[in-house]
Amino acid sequence: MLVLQRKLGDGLILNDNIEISIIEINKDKVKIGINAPKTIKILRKEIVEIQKQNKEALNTVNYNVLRSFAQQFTEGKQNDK
Amino acid sequence: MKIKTRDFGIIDILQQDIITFKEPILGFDDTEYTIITVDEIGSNFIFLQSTKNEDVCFILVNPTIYSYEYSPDILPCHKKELNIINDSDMVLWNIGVIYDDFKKSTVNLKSPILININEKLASQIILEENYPLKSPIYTGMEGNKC
Repeated sequence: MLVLQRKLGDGLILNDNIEISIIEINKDKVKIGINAPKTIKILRKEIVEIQKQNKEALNTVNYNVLRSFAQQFTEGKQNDK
Repeated sequence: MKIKTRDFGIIDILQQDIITFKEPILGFDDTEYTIITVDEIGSNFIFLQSTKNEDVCFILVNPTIYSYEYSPDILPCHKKELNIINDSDMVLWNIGVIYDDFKKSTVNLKSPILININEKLASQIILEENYPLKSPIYTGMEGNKC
């Protein structure tokens, strides 16, 4: 990974058509401005990770596994009482 | 009305059984779901089935079954989005990722499903707090500490 040090108000140019500026620095938060063509998709990383996780949830879910586990879980709880 | 479900064939639901998402669950387009509970599974795991697309069905996990503390702060903006006035109007569920080997299964604690149970409005919110996207479900459950 390329690591650069930038000051408040500094910027970066990517690929001649994307401009990134450091707008505000506040303790552990940084405000970043991005100027880019409309066709460039910009997403917060955590959103992408959550999307991936949601899709994984659909791909793997298994009714029979869940049923057998839920039954074991319920029985286990009753035994604890 | 009759809807097609992924795991339960065609079922009959009422208009009031529909939960409307203000924003779609991230990565999906569907905004209307219904909740299906199954007696033999109990109320700690429920199915969130899209009413329009039978293939879209999530398993939601009741956070009260974890052995650890999970009571995240819900931001006022999230409550406002769903018209939540009293905390008793809302419930929180986590999306489960269930594998054949249940011990590998996880829940997403970072972005739970928030539901206004009175108005049947919901949203997948992203918590400010530092919760994991993948928390093991098995060791996280009461009485199953490994």
